[in-house]
Amino acid sequence: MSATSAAIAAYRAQQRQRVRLLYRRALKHTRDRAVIRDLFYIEADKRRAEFDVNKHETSIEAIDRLIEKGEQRFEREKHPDPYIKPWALGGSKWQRNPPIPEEVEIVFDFGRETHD
Amino acid sequence: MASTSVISATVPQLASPPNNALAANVTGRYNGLKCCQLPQRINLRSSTKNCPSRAVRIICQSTIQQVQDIIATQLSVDPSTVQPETKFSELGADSLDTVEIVMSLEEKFGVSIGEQDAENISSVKQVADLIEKQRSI
Repeated sequence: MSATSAAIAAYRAQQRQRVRLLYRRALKHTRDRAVIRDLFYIEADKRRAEFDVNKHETSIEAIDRLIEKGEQRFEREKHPDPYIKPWALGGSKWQRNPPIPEEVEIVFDFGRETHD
Repeated sequence: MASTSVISATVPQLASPPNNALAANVTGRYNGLKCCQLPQRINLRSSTKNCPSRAVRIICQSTIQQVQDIIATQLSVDPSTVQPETKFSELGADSLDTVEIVMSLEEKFGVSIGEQDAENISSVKQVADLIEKQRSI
């Protein structure tokens, strides 16, 4: 627990960041679990309601505890094989065919090599 | 500017498929490829004044315009209040709403915005720039 108010504000901002990331991940894994769109909307509303219940907490320790519980619950309930876009980080096509650096020149003489 | 004029010359073809499709459901014969073109792939920078019909004008929308429309639909606000410089807090969206908007934009445009990039989104223009950046990769 820091004494200065600037440090407290920074800590609260960091907490807000954690909440945002948790909500983002929870929503994405909910979408992976509930693929049918109508069911996804119902589940997403439930997640949002779970976050909104604790919207008006003010004490730092209570918020910390809630975030911890949320993250542990996420660890338990996350999807084992989440959908990642193939060309995104963690996907199967990530950096698969990177562009060739400009210093490299391709010489198209297949079949006409001289083998000096 | 030759490329945009070429695009606007070929785009009017897309105006005909809806009518053909209605007729084709009766006759059963039409060029399926024309109807399969995804509208959001066309990314014209020029203004939409040279697009004749309403259907073609929707297809000609730039990224920022589509982003504004989606945000207005998600937050149930008037689309005219959503300008590129508008912040999400001005539109009455808290941080969780921002997360939802970013997710729906990712799904609509088929991009994947990283978590670090998505941290400090505050205005509409930032989101549109991020989407453009991811699309060009």
